[in-house]
Amino acid sequence: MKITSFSIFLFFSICKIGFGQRGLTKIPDTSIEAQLESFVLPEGAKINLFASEPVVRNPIHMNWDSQGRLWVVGSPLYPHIKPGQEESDQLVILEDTSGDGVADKHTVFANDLHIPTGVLPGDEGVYVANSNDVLFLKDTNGDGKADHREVILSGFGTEDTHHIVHTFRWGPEGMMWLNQSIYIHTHLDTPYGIRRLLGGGMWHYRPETRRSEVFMKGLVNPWGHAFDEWGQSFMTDGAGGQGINFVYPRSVFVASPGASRRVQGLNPGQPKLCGLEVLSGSHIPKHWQGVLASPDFRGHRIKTFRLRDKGSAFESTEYKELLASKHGAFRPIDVKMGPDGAIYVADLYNPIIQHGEVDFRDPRRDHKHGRIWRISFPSREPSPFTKPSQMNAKELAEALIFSEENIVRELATAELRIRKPDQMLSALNSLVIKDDLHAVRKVWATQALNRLDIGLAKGLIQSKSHNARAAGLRALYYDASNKNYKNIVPIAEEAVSDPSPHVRLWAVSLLAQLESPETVKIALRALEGIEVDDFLDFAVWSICREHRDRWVNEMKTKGGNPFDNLTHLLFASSAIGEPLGADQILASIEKEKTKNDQKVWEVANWIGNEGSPSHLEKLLSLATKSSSVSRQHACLNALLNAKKIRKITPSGDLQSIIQFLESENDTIWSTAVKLAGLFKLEIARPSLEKVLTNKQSKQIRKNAAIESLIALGGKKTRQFFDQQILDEQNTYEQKITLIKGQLKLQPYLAAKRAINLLQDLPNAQVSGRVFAAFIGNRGATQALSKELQTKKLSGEVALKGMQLAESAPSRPNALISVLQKAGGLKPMKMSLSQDEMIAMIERVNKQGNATRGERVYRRESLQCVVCHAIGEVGGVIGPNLVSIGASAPVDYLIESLLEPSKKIKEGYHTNLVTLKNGDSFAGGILSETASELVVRDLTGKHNRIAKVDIGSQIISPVSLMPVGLTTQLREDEFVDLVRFMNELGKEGRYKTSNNRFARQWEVLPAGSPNPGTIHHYGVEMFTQDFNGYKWVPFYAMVGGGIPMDEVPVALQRRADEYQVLRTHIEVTKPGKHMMRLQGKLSQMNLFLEKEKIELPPNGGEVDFLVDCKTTGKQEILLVFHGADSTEFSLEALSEDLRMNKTF
Amino acid sequence: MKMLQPSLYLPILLSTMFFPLRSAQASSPLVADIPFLQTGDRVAFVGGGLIERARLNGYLETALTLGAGPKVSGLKFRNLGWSGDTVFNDARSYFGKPKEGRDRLKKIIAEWKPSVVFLNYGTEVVLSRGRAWTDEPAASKRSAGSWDDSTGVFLEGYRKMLEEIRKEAGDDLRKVVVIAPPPLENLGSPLPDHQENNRRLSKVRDALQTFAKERNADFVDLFRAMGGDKSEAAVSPKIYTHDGLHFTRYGYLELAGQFALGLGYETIQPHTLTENLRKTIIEKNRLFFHRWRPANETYLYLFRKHEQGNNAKEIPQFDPIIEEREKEIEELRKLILKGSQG
Repeated sequence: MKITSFSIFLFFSICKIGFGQRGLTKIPDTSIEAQLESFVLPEGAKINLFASEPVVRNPIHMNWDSQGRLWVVGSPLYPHIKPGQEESDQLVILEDTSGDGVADKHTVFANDLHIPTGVLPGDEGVYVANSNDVLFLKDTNGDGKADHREVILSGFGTEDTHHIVHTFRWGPEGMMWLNQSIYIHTHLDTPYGIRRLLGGGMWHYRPETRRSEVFMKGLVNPWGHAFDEWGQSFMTDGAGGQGINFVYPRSVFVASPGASRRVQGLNPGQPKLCGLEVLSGSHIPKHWQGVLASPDFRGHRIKTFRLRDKGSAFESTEYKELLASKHGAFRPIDVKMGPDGAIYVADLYNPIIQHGEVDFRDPRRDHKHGRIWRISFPSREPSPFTKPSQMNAKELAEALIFSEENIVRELATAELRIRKPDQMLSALNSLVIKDDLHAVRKVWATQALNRLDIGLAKGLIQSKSHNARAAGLRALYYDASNKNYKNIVPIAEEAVSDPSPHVRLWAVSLLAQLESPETVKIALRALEGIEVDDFLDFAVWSICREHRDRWVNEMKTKGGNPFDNLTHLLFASSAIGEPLGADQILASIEKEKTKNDQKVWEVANWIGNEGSPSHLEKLLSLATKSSSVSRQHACLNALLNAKKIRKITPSGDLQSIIQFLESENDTIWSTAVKLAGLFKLEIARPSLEKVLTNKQSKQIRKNAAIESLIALGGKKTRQFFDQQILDEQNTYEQKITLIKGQLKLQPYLAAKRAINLLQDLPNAQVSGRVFAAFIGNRGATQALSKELQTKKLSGEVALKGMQLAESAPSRPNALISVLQKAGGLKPMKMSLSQDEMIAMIERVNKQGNATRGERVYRRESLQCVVCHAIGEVGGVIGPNLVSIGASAPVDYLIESLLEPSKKIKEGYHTNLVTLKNGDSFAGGILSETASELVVRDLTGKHNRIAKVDIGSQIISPVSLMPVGLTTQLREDEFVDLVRFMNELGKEGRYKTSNNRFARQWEVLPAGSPNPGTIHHYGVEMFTQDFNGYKWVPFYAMVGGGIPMDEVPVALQRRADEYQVLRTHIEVTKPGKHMMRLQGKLSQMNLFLEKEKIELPPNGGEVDFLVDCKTTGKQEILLVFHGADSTEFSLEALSEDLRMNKTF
Repeated sequence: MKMLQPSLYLPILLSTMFFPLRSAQASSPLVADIPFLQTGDRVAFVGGGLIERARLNGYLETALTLGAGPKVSGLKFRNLGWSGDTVFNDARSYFGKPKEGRDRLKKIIAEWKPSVVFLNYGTEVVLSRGRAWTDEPAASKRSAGSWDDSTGVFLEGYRKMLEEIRKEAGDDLRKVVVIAPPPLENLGSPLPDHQENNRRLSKVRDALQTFAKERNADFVDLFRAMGGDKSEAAVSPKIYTHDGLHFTRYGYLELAGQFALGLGYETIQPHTLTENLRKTIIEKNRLFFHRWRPANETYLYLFRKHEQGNNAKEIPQFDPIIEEREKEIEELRKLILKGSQG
């Protein structure tokens, strides 16, 4: 047994406590000064304290009223009320009467709230989120305190108190917007019937009509929502990692329960964000105006993003930081522009955040402090502000339409709602509207009065600006249920063919609200004539499903195709998951009308998923008639899925599948033999056995043959497996492959054979494959546990098995205990006592070295990067660690490394699906339909599982992170690793910067084969498209650099070493674009799309131009010649370049 | 079956009265001589938002607490209302299938063993024309179908729920009372016009009346009592709700009085003590809410229990505090009833 020094440390730790019992409570300095000193601000900015405890404590959310006062809710009660405790959280109104930027007056408006997470003044009172309910509080006697309390909405879930209803905001159209998070299940009784939202999402509510509707679904913790100047909605996520999310009606995002399709955010790899505001107004410098600001509460900073139009949605790029701090309790969680044009930041003030991983009653939690900060630019004038509450009707109307200060328009909208509608309408109508934006604002103003100017809204569709056209459709969207508005369908019909994809997206959204029988037919036209992105595609997909009955009923009664063409029919039928029109579509493919292979794949997948046996027969016939490998593959693959997932076999003769057993193509051959097995075609058996007895056969063919033989089953298969396993001639590798087959048929025999093999293996590493195969099947696990009871294994082999068993979501305890016995292992002690923990924390703080720790983290054997990303790059199996150090205490990090299952991050719980045949699949549920489940496993593989095959499905209490990964580390290495993780996201070197470094690379492995010789071709050789180049992923360090000593030497020729890396840039505009390369230039050869870029012969840094003739993805390849490089980095400087994030 | 007939008309002197004074009763309740609630009764209210929100003002419970009269004692009430609930109890489920909601209701019924259960469902059915009012897979599609389908599935679900409640409560269960929901109010544009909905709700009432008879349950007609049979106006004459559906405090006050009358109870003269009683009831309800529907269930009891489940030990600590409040309620009740007699 390999016991390295760190595991020895764990077993025989003799460390003693040298300091206090409460070594864990390193509470940051609570003084205002300590926080002020810690802030890092952009040029010209200043920060001052606007308000603090005892006036505000643990502030969560804030909004201004039309008198320019700030309403703040905070919750010392969070995370959970104690028995005997009063509901005593407060709503406080803060006022700066002297205009010096400091609140000098405060009023406690309510002091009997229960974890209030949202506040929105308006309608002569204030709306407050109060756990299950949304309250409306009002002061009727003028003493400044609430004396009227009414429940406006009830039925919000409280399954987790940092998920409860939150993020209130008035929309420009006068509705109240509110969000909820992932664990919340809401059921609202409304005068229009019950409205439900299970999981995260966003609602809108119109107080006049008391109508609440769900706008979008999903996101883990959608704690931020803002409208841009044209009224488009953007959200942030306090537990997701996609930065800014563009949301629109019916869009569905990550983590929405039961969703079969989701839309992605705009900035994958971003840390968790809380709050969102568009920076605006004349007080702030021009370059900040229009920028989206959102606090990274874990990283103690405020990040910003800039938006540009892209397709039907937007592109978001990270901009500068607005604020950063090293203070461990600074938790910015809301940011709002103030009436004076300054930026206000709510600071929850807490060294501990959330309560899933840290105890509810952890003494380090702060329940006393809280701060509101104000960021201003002292050299600039404050924004002009007149209180909307003091404006007359005309002034208010002018402010609504013409003010260029967002905050003025926002507060004027709230004020407008309490004025006399007729008076306000006449004031609005008296204004001369000249441009599109003003027209849009006027439409909003009328809508905020719930008196939509329908003529003006319809007129917007003729605007020059596509933003105004989209805004007009959105205004109609909200009021589409109003039966008095006629002729809305023709407007949508015109707009689905608009040149702007934005407008099309809103046209489709509007159609989804309408009752016309033709909505789907019209919506499908939005797919014509432009490049359709996922956002628009989703919207059309969604209406096909939502309005299914309308077109399906028409099709069933009238027959034929209810749409403009067969492509539309294919899209709509695929969307609803039914084979409607399959005969028409298959006929058109058979007649070779469809030239496009991609289309054939679409059709084949759809038929595979939905088709009848006779449709499948046509697919099989297509495969046999086609000479295109791609088409054959498409059809066979679809047949295989139909058989596996839906248990459906093509009608007619199946023998024709045998012709593919002659195929040269491994994929075609493998797919065909699997089908032959499932179709019980005995005629295939000899070919299968031949492949398995031939040592030269490729693994892919062998795996397929095993699967096929199992499916064929019977005595012949059993005999063949056992004979081959016992055959001395066969290699270990072959035997392992065969045992993996045998265990499905004869688990006890397979266990016996496996044990013999395990006792006789040349190296313990190989044993992992054997154990993994047994652990992956319940029956086989039992068999192995039983057969091992009286057997011995080497300590090393048994340890390998233990490690796999310990981290298996099925927790095979019987196997774990027999492995201990068989290998003579001591139980793995992976936890620290309190004293040991204190000593370890001290060591991390004093001796830990983050630079060394990062190298440990990147070690291949630890596999950290395979599953975890830091920022934009790395695996997606585990949580992104981008700001883990800033959010998690050191004890949490240590514990998570040693005992991964003890604390499992939100959204990373493993689903364990066990099939009736005992096979188990563990991982995240990617999507789900009525008949199948797609599980993404530890390796990132997507496993499609037929629901009928499922025996049980549970949420496993076991983390996917393997146990004992750190046992291979020395103690000092472990300390360095923890230190590195502890620095992640904190102010300093280990916070990912917004420099656009190339972070995602691919490298050639050591000793790669080559298409020729280097002395003949020169370094250009590596630019060739050669299928011997097996590129493997490689990630930059947190700082953006690539450590050359970790890059494999692809080619070594005498003393010459070549290391080869490639990445992609995405060009958004053709032209010459600036990039920066840092490193030892003399050793570098740089290529853009195979063209060499000249670099200076020497030096350590160069800014150079790349000449990009076209837009889209382009490859950058770097060849290092020479061995003494240390590190290099490549960075995009031009705005028109994006660095690749995925391959 | 016993028919409980509330009076049709009640003058309301809101400024001076705690509960509407019964000065004229149109028809006598059938059960006036036998008190509806008896000593030691454990009363559960089950329903949707109307019941859930009743806990916040306490009028309903106060009316019954006092209405039961001086001869009975030791009454206990549990408000098990849940906003958005249906006869399939799907609103009560969290992460699981809709059925989990039914299980949650069964669990509390089995634990608390009520002797009297009041059930209020039906409005959600009339409000959801052509739209599913339940997520329960076996019923969802029909609930979105024709009126007959929708009410059919409603009554089937109701029957099953009633059976399950009876089973879980066991022999302790003395009475089940089916309530016909009060009418919806027309508050004028831009709030929705409920004239058609009320016509449908009157049909639901009729069906529930038959249903109660068949299922051997008592029946209280709040639809009639709150003027549902009389109001055909585009705008309702009295305003009991703030959105046509949800009752205001004043609405609950009226509703509570009608409810008490429906059970054959006298209403009580106002008194400072009754206000104290009501406040104590509200406080008891607040505590009970934290006890049976605590926040953070994900961590306390569900799939993240292994992380923060140790905090669940605090939840039963609400029990003694609830008992304290119930003792106070009993004391206050005695004082008030003594006063009203004397």
